Formats: sequence, C-alpha cells, structure tokens
Amino acid sequence: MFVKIELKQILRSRWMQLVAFLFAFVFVAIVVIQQMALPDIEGFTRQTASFLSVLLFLLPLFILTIGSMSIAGDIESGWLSLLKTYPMKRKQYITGKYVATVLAFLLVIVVAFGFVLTVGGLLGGVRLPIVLVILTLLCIIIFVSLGILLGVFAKTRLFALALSLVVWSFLLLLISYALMAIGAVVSGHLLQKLIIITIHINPVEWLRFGYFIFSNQASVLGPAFYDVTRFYLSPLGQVGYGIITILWIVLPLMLATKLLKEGERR
Amino acid sequence: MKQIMLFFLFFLMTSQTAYAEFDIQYAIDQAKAGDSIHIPAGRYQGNFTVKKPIKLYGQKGTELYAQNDEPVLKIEHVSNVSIENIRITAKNKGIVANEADNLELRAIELKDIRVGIYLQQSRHIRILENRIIGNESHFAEKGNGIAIFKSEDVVIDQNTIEQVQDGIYVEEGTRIDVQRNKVTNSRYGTHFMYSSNVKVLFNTYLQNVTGLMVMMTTNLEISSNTISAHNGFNSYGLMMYDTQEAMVRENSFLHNRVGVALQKSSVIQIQENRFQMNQTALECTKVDERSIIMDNQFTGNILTARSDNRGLRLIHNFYDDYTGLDVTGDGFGDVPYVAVSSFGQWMVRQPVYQFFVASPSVVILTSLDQQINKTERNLLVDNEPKLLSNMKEIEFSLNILQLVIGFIVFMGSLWLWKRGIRV
Repeated sequence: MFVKIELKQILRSRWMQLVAFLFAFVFVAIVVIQQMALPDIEGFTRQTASFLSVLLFLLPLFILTIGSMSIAGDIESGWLSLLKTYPMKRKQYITGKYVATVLAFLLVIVVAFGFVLTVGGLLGGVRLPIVLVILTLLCIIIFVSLGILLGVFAKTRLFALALSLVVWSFLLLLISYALMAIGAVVSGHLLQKLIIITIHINPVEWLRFGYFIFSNQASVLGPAFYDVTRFYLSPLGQVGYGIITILWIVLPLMLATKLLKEGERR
Repeated sequence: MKQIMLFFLFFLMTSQTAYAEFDIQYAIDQAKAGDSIHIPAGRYQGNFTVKKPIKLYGQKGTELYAQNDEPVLKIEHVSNVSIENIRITAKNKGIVANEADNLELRAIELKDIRVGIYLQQSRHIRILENRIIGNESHFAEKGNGIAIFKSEDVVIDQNTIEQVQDGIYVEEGTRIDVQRNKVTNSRYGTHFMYSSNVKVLFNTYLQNVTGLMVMMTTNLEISSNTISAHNGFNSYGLMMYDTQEAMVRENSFLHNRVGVALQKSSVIQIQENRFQMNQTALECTKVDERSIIMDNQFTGNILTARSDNRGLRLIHNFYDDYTGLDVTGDGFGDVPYVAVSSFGQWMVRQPVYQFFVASPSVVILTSLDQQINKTERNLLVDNEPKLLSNMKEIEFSLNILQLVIGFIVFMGSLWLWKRGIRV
C-alpha cells in the first residue's frame, strides 16, 4: 500500500514527467542523427558511446535529486512523522520508498525506449543493445539506493538537492579529473592501480566498467587493464561483479535505515 | 612436352582416405625437365622433394601429408616449377622453397598446418589462389600462413588465410605484391620487416590482432584494402613503425581500435581513405613534417587523431564533427578544423588514460577543448576541411515489427503511468 502511494506521488510529479520527455527526446535524437548516418555495426561505436554518456550523465543526476528530495521532503514536511503513527518499521519505509522510486524510473526508461523503438521502426529499425538496457536497470537500482541515503542524510529538500548535485559531480566528473591530474605526476603503473580502486568505489565507473565487460568491449579500456578485465570476464569475476553490485544497493539502504533510526533517537 | 599420365582403374572403387599407390617421389625423380606430372586422386604420405623444373598437378582429391616434422614438399635450388591443385596436411611446414626461381604455387589447400608456405632466397614467385588454415593453438605456438625471407619479385594473389600467426610474413623482401588476399582471425594479416618496393592492394583483413603491420620498410603502396574489426587490447588496422616513403590510398579502415598508427615514420602520404567508426582513427608519434593526411573521410570515429608535437599535416579531409560553414562556396570550411584534444594527447603520452575514453568526464573535456583549441594553429589542424556530404539520407523505410513493438511498449507504459497516478 505504501509503495502504491509513493509511486503515485512520484508519477504525479511534473519533474518526473519532464524526465521522461527529456530521455525520450535525447535518445531519439541520438538514434536519428547517428544511426542513420553510420552503418549498423556491433561494438563500441560513437553511437553506443553517446548512449552510454547520456545514460551516465543524466540518469544518475535525476535519480539522485528526485530520490533524495523525495525522502528529505517526507522528513521536512512531517509526512514521515505521520507515517510513524502507523505500524510501519523504518526498514519498511526505506524499502517501500526504494521500490516505488525504482518502479517510477523503470517506467520512465520504458517510455523512452518505447519511443525510440517506435521512431526507429519508422526509420527502418534501430538496435538497442541488451547490455545497455541492463546497464540502465543497474543504474536505476544502484542510484535510487544512493539517492535515498543522501535524502536521509540531508533531511531538507534544498540540502538534499545541493548534496545530490555535489555527489553527482564528484562521481561523474571530479574523481575522473582528479585521477587524470594525478596521472600527470605519478607513474602509469600507479595510476592504473588508482583507477582499479576507483572502479570499485565509484558506482559510475563500476557501471561503465560493467558495460565494457559484458558487451565484450573490454579492449576499449586499453591493454593496461587486461588483467582486471580478464578476471571479471571469468565466471568467478562475474559472480564478484554481482556481489559488489548487490553491495552497492544494500549498503546505502542499510545505512539510510540506520541514520533514520539514529535521527529519531536524537 | 612429354607428359606422364597414370590412371588407376580401381580409382573409383576406393575410398578417398585410402593410401594411393602412385609413387610421387619416383615420378618426380624419373621426370625430365619441363615434364608435367598428374597425380591421381588419393592420400599420399611422405616428404617429397622437387629439384628439377617440372609441373606437378593434383587431380581433385589429391592430398599429401606428413606425420613427421619435416615439410611435406620441398622445392630446392631449381627454376620453373609449378605446383597446382593439391591438398597438404602437416604438423609443421607444408611447402618449403629454397633458392627457387620462377615458381608458381596455385590452388593448394593447406590445412591444420603450423607454417603453410615457407620461401627463402627465391625470385619470380607466384603464390596464387591458395587456401591456408592454421590450427586452434595460441598465436605464440602458430607459424605463418605464407612466410617469405630474402626473396624478390613475389606475387601473392587471391589467397585465403585463417587462424595463423601472420597471414603473410615478409622479411627482407623486394618487389613484393600482396593483392586480393583475405586474412582473418590471425595475429597480423600481413607483416613486412626490412622490405622495400612493396604493394598491398585490394586485400581484406578482418578480425586479426592487427590488420597490416609494417616495420623498417621503405617504398610501399597500400591501396584499396578493407581493414576492419581489429579490436583487441593492442590492435591496429594499419601499424607502421620506422617506415619511409609510403602511399596509403583509398583504403577503408572500419571499426578498429586504432585505424592507422604511425610511429617514427617519414614521407607517409595517407590519401583518400575512409576512416569509419574506429575508436581512434589516426595515431601518430614521431612522424616527420613531409608526411601528409589528405582528402580522407573521417566519420563516426570516437577520436579523430592524436599525435605528439611533431609532424602530421591534415589537408582537405572531411570530418563529420566539423561545425564550420562554407560561406565562400569553395567546398571547404571557412574556419580550420582542430582535431587536437587534450585527452587524445594524454593518451599518446600515457596509455593508461585510455580507460577514460568516451567517459562523461572526457566528453565534457573534449567539448571544452573544441572551444579552447579554436586558436590552435599548428598541431592537428586542417585549415581547409572538406565539406562533402557523404552522409546517407534518412530513409523512411518501415520496420513494421519494431514499429509495432515500440508503439505497444510506448503506449503501454503511458497507460501504466496514467493508471499509476489514479491508484
């Protein structure tokens, strides 16, 4: 019941409707401009690079802001205090919020992909790589979890918005730029180690790395990463990828629940 | 010309895999210069040697094989030899020619071999329409499809080569013509070392580690080849190292990790080629200022060019990401095209940076570069980028199935959305 109410609220939001429109528009633009100008080749092309960039740019941004503001808004408006009067555990509240937000974003993506397929059908057919679709799903389930954590931490909508933007820019841009800058003064070997660490502690890089691994495009990352890609291409590595992905979902939710409880105690 | 013609009456009654009783070596030994030997169909075990000018023709179904490591067929110190229409199976080398003159090898199928054809110190050689298939082992354990050492005037035409180390390996060769061959799933499609006067024309290189590797070689013409899908960790479409005086013209470099890489090379002309959907179209280090990149088409590449500070002149190329206009109407852009990007240059200096290729941070950086580098005048600048329209027009052909599925998904999701709001 709580999930239904939350889902209804999110879907009613004009912001969410704009997100759906934006995704549909951007994806269709990429498909029409590039797919029609270039031959249909499998692999890492400029088109898949554009898709990947747009996904990693926009989706985390909207998920983090909407996800965090949703939960911070509950705290700020007193809706959470009202919910506490019902027999609902904090864990149930966090889980319900998580499921509702994930479902809402899934619907956004289905709308966008449906529109892309429709327009693509009019233009002779386009290909949506399955790995890109899976990457989108992973992006949603990981970043909704992080968004909820940020919302619980922020407690007010404005702070949640600011915090989301800061975290988003760190994950998307600043960590990469910092590594590139460090690369100017340290050896390639050390930079390679730092990048491997970053892959595991930055969900954006984790998803991007996963795309290359599971689409058999690992060579795009360059020979310096042969060993780590070879490991993740092995059955053990793929299990490892699954476990780390689950940790990226579960740990923020657990931390959010804990923070919520501690906040109430204070 | 006297011909030795031997037929077996029971030929049709026997299996193709049965040992044939025709004694090939005896026939070779008995033949006189200029004789033609027609080998009846069947399987022949042994190591055969040709030391006189003869022609050896196999009937359909003729197979020679060796169970030891010696070559199946040796051609030594001889002129005017022709071998045609034979299948050869060997553990090690198929055919070895040493100091041969005017040799023709035609329509020979070499299967499960380590080295297909091995040639040294020979002249006036024609290797035509052969099919060479290596084994499944690692590249380090494989040999070359066609290996040529210290030879001159060699034509390698219309051969099909798969699963070997180097499809065609040439070392210290002069006047070598490699044309209309197809090399797939090998380490290097064709590999030249210390050679000169080389032509590589109309070949297809597909899914090798590197399509064409040229090292310490001078005076080359590489034209009208299709070099595609070389996407390994260290893959290149065409790699030239320490090469001088090369014309690379009218080739298609499609979907490679790096289309063309030039290292420490001089007087290289890259003209009228098509670079399409490569991760990096062109990568140059230590290329001299006499080298030019002219009249090429760059479309759909993630990175157009990267280079160190020396050399590499871009002239009259077409770039699909050029945003300038042609107000004067001369067919060329009015403002220069600047291919240089900070990220591309970093990748040249520190290969580890490749990890970030096409990442969101690099996309933003490259966008900024395109604004900042408009003032660049020397490095990777094409002052007159061509403005031809080679983009195909959008075709309004229908894909009914996708249209229907897409429409159902789109409308279905909108309905779900509407329903979700009402709940």
